Amino acid sequence: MPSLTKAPDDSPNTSSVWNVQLSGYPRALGCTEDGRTMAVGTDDGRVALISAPTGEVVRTLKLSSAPILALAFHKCLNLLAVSGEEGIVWVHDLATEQTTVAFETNDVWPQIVQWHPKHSKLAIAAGRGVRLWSTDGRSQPPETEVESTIAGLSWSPKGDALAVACYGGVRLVDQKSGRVTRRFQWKGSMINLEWSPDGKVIACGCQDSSVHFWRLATGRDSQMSGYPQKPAVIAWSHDSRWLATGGASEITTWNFKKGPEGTAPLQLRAHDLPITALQFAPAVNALASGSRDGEVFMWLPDEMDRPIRRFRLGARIEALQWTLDLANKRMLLVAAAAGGQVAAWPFS
Amino acid sequence: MHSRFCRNAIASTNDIQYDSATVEQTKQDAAAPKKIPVTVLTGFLGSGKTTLLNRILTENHGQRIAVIENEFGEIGVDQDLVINADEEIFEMNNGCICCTVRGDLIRVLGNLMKRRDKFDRILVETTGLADPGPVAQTFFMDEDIQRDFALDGIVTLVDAKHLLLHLDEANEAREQIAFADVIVLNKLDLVTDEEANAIEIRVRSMNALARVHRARMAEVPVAAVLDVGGFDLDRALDHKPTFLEPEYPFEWAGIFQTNGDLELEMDDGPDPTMTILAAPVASADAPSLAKAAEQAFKLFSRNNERTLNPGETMVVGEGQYILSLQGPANSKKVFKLSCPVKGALVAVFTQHLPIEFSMRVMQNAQALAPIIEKEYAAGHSHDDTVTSVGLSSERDLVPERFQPWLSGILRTQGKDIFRMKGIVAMAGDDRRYVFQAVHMLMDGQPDRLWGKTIRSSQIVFIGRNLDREQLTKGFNSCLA
Repeated sequence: MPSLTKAPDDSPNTSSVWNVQLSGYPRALGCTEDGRTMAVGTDDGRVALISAPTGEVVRTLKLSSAPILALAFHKCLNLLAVSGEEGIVWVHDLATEQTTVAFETNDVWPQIVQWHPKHSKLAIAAGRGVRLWSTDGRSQPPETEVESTIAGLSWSPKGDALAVACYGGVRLVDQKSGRVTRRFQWKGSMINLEWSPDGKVIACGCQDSSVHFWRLATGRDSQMSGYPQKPAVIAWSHDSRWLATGGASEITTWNFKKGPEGTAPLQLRAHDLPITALQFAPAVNALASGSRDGEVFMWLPDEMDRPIRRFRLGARIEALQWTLDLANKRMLLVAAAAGGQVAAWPFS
Repeated sequence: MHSRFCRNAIASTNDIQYDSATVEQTKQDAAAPKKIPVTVLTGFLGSGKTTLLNRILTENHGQRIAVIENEFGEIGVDQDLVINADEEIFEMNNGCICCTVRGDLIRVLGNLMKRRDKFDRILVETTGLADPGPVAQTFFMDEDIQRDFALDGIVTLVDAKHLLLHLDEANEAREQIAFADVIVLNKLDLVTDEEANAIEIRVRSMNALARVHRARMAEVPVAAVLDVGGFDLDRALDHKPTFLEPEYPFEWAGIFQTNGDLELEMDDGPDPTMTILAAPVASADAPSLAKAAEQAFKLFSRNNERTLNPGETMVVGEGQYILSLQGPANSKKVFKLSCPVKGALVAVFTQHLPIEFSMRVMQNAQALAPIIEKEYAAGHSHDDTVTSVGLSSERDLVPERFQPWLSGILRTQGKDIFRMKGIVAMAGDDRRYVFQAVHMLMDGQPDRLWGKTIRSSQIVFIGRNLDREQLTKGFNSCLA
């Protein structure tokens, strides 16, 4: 497709909308669906709640002395779930500003937390086990144990299934009984899991430097191999067209509308060091990528294989998050870097 | 250049690009932060790992240490971080042993890097039954781990009281010894001095590269187990390998003052043949015998032996002979030993003890006693499948022959080779070439200049079912 997009500006753009320096090492980043509040969990056991449009640190939750592992905002309820290395999962109510201990894992790291897309149900992956917890106190099925420590977890977009990635593939867990109802096998270790927004495909990066994906309709396993390093981060575009995969310094994007079976991927090359974070924007096919050296690029894979914007923070990019700045009718890209720097740049 | 493709996973394994995996050392640029050293403690249950761990942690070392514990023991520490993690072994679909890594280490070490205040050192305490292979490979196979961490050394604790039992019963015990950079013979207060010596000999015969320390309550100096540099190319073979006499392929040697040709008389023995070698020596003393033994060792390994029947003649200095002792039962077998230099001192090496065949050395029908003799403890008296093989030469190696030979060995026998280290002199290169390997993963590079040091080549293999003769032959074929 001919491109009318402005040629990329090679100099790093330092004009961030806001820039915050936190005291800890950012471990987890999230944003409310309405784009108002961001949360950054750090290694000093704190969660900074930041006004996403302005960058003002509204509140800091001091939850633990051990590092924060993960956090997740509920899509429609005003709830933030946070997990930490001391084995505790907290739920913070943004409306009442109350924090409660939802769950304790007995010294096992609750590495992933994810809210059900509709209900007030939280999935927690700790060690080899996945558990459900509900705000209404209803009893949940017993812990489901899989083959190894869970490396990835995702509710299906509709919330009708829960997928976990572990050594040996992906398991679908029934949220009522806690039983494993379906297995997608690959003898190797999964390192992450992303469910396509249309619900049709589950993709995983693997330790053996490949990406596997399974179409739910057929259950057939497909593999993308030839990666020079393990694909440590993967991300789907909002329309499920692109699966972006990173690990080495280039981003390999697979087009699921045209294949990807039998097709060559679109290679996005601009980073010098391995990719550490990837995220697609919520409503347009804009991709953000961050790398070990603190470089951040924005891409439009529908249009071209060169980056459209370049930003830089001082240290390894730990997480990226797109948010909607409704008041100013724009999107913001927020990046958190190893040094504790968190910055937002506009995309219009 | 890697090509990427998408396909059905079925039948795709053939396309996975994989070769004998020479892992190139990723040189860190000056600005890159120093890698965090990791020490791995292995040893059977009850060997004293936790005691040693506590000793390290309570010592006033001034370092911030994080401990990853696979075996949940009682560690009492205040300022340091202890993380419990179950061992998770990740095998790959291609079935390659060298691709097998430890998922728990990747996960925990990855988390430890995401801290503002980094640790100075990591200790990993494995379970008693841990295979050290995947632990070591994790530091070479996983890019993230390789970038941030350096495996400093594998320290294996040995329960002196129960070692022999463990060696006989468990592969893991043998492998933990084979992989070790440092072996602590612990609980020596529970065995006699003779038992301790026997254990040390056995352990050294398996792993000639490890430093061996003796202890009662794991009381070894902390410096002896930290900063070992076991996988550091710059320090490859810093510690001289210890080869024990049991490795000699002969059990006895004696030096005789000859005055013309000799005759060897022997009776039936436990074997139908006996290999023998005679060589001239300069003097009849221990150093001379030791030197001759080294020479004889090399000759014994060569495949140019001839079989002699009784009545036939062997010649001093012409390599080894296999004496056939078949014939009528209870009959005396006589072999002639021709000594070309009259009045020469001759060292005779025999595969078995002379007494087993009632061997007599005769000169002019008189029995001749050796001026000096030595028995070499039989290396094959126990059947350890794990051994060390050392190859050395003062001649240069031809790179075009040496490199294919070495990578061929690792490709075909890598599964059975636990560790390998070497420093070699390549013909036409002023620099030393250093390398080390874990199974099939090899890491090598040119090193400093030889300078005034005498050029020489040395390689040590530690492995299972190693064929010393084949390895020696292959190595010799690479000599310039």
